[in-house]
Amino acid sequence: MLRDSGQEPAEPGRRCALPRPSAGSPFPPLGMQQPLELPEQQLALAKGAGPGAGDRMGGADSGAVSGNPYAGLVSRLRAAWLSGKTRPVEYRVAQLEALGRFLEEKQQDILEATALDMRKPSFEAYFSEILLCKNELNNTLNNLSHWMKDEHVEKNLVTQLDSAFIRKDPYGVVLIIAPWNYPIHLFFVPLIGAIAAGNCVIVKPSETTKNIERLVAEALPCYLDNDCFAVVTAGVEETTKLLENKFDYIFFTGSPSVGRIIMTAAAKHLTPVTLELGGKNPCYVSDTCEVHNVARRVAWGRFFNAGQTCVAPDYVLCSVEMQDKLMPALREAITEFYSPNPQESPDFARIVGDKQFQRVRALLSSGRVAIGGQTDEQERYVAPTVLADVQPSDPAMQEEIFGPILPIVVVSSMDEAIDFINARPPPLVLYVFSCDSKVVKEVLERTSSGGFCGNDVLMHVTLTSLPFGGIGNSGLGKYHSRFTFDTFTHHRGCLHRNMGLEAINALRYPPYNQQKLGLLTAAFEIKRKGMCTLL
Amino acid sequence: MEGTWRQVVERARAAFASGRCRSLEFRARQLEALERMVREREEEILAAIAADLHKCGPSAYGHEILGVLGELAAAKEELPSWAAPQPVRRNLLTLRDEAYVCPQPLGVVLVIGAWNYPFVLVVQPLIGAIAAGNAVVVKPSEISEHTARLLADLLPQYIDPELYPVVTGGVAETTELLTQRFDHILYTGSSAVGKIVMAAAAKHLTPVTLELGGKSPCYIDKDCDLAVACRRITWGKYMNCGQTCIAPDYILCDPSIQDKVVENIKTTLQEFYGEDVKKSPDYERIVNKRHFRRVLALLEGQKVAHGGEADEASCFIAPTILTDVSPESKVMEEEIFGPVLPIVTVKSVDEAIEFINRREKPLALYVFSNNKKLIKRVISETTSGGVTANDVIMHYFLSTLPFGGVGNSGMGAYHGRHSFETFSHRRACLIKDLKMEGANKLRYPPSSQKKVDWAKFFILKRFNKGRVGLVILALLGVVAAVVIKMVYY
Repeated sequence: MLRDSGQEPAEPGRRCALPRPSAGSPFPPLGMQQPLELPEQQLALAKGAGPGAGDRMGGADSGAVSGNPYAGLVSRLRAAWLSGKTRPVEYRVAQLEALGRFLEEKQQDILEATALDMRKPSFEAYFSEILLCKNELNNTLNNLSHWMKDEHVEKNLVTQLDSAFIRKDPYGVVLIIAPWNYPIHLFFVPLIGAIAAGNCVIVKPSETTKNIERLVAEALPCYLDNDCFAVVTAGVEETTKLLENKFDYIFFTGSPSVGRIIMTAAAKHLTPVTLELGGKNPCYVSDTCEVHNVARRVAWGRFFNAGQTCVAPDYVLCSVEMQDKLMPALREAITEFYSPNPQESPDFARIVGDKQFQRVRALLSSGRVAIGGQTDEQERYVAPTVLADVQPSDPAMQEEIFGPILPIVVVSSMDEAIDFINARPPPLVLYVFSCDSKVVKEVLERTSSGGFCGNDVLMHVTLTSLPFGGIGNSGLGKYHSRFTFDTFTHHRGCLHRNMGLEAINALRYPPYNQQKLGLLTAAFEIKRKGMCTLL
Repeated sequence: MEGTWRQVVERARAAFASGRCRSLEFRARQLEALERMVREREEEILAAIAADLHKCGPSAYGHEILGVLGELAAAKEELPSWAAPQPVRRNLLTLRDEAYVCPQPLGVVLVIGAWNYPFVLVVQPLIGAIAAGNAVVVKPSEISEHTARLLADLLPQYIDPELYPVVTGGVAETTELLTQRFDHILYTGSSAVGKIVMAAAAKHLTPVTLELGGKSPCYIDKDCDLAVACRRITWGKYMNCGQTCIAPDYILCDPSIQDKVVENIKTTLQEFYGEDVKKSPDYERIVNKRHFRRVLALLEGQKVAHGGEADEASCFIAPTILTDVSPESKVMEEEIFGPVLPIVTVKSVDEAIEFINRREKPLALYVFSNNKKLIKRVISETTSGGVTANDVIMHYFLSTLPFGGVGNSGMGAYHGRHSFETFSHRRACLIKDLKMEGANKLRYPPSSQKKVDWAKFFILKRFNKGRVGLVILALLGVVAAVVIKMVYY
């Protein structure tokens, strides 16, 4: 059942091929080598599929997938959903605690797998894939019963004696599709909310980060209830098949172009979606600022995960004087962080794949390379690079960079910067650096973006009380902490009325007349603060 | 035609970009003008609705104008608090920063109305969209043509015509309109067209609110005051000649009370519409011949316990009750949207719940019972857009409740504050100090175990709520900053 087989496991008890690990990893120790390639049969066994797994796996891998291979899986989960298993708070807490154990016990494997997949520095991996996930989990466990409660609402005159509340209903069977850049975090955090909200969930991790994909497919089902939660490994073609099924919610993180495909597929079933997409996040640096702090913060945000972060500052807008001041400061920050030879620093990641490497490398022919610019195709290494005097027509300004390249575009004033930003699709996040709070506030007011961070980068993502999401091309919907719970919850308006007092209802029944209408008007018009107009 | 729509949308976009609808005063003035329009032109509005649906004045006023006035009153009063930035709880790392959610307009939104409540279903979303500071393209349904024409005529006289243009037209025109980019689309109508709207929106990654429909079940428990229940159901079912998205579509009840239910409804119908329903000024008509034929066809092969009379010339269908209806029959397949009430018998509440859950999620769910536990059970073991227990329709009139569907009955919600939120972008804002670099040091490379431990401390440390916790938090923050400065400088 771990695989996209859509079939029941061979024996109900034998849900997981691997023993529940209490100590030691089921993986052989991994060094900094080529991604692990297991022989085919071992792979099939490890995936714990039923008989005939080899055929199915071969079929799926060789491209031609026929019919709807996931129909069985989806309907099995839907049956589990209808049984009501995921509703009680105790069940949800138990599953969430199991997720916590997954994070604890598999921590080392996660760090190793992310290192293999994209040479993610262990601090970065620990921070984004473990720490932030733990934070979300703790937050959710601490608040779940409060979030689940019926929310009573203010009533109007007519409903004074009734019970009016918003119920938090789960949607049903939801699908989470995660990308490769933060391969654990970006399925884990939505998964927390989906489980907390009482849904059954199918998780589809990215096929690009193969080691993490394998880890999740094999290990996660050992922790979660396999009746209600499944991991599907799928490439582009299989994902298209997966999307033909009806889901009750789809949560997608990835590029805007794929976001359109997801939403179009969702439209066929009227499935609501949250799309966490991307774009070019502008970073405006005003002339009044602490240059060294700016340089450090911007460099940190840009080069974290070798630039493969949806909320990274994508490009800088500043005056030509500020560009001159920033350059040495940026050089200093980069050297401080990654040493004079970043290729040897254990704290600097690599581009995830060859295709992405080619794409990022092509962006280097923009403006002039002021810092860095070196590449190494073997390692998929692109040096922390700053490009000066970049023109809006340059390659680096045509697409989201998603790499360790920071273009600087010169503007002559804050107004020009604001016009530049507003002429483009609203980004996922907007950054402004200024010691003058008026500048920060003005840019905030005159622009639009998913989120906004003044005088720093990335940090708004770590504050769980803030909703995280895009607008327009950068996405729709939001999540993190309570907002994730709300995303996967249908807020159902409920009115529980009194059977008595039918006399008052008489006002609304035919035959109609002006007198009734007058009284009805007085009764229905919303009056605030308990003012009573009828009596 | 495409050129015209593009111009209209571009003009609205330019008007939005001018920034004039940003200020709360501007929005409040527009809403006041809208209120003036509703009060001053009430006669014309009621006349248009009457022409479209054969609806009498008091009925149209109660169903449509009242709701709009209520919504306007709420928006007027609550707008400042809805639009204000909301500070959020901070953690140790952000204690000294400003963190808040700032509601902002989305841009140019499209409101597509429906024909069954042609005025309120366009104007109520419009109110929320204006309050949220957007430009709004209004597209009333062409089927309720008198109201559409009136809106096209009246709205530009009262509110900013560039920011809030009215576009009229049928399917072809709407399809063209949907090729333009909007920042949100609110559509009220059928599930089939809802899919088309969402697919068109997907091309531009436009968020949508779809107020669709379905078959809203109404379960009557044996233990309930049948007379009252049936009167309430009769009201909700036959208002607007059954053409209400949240009308109780069909009844589920025990076979032993089926006859009593029929009797009670018959009695109530007499009370409401008199001996000759056709002559009652309070009974509406089916909106057009196509729907008339569609609804009439649903009666084929059914046991008509009451009603069934029809007159094509006036699109009249009498209030009709069908008994012992089979779940597989045509009348149980599609949303009826007409004055035909099928009764399907079930032997228990378990069977009723199972019946409901086997079908598409409805827009509304109704349950009548004296037994509070039973009501709680029905609500918790099913799902639906909304619920009214021991009555019908009424959850629609409480604007503090979000009104919308789920699954096939729709997505998103509006009314009151929920309209404002639907048409706003809630932008997360974090504003830090540029000067204090101390604590940031621990996140920069090169990494070390010490830094990892500090990161754990800052991110995961939890304190109880309350002032004491906050003070301790603040003190720890100061201590941490000092220690880090000493260690790393």
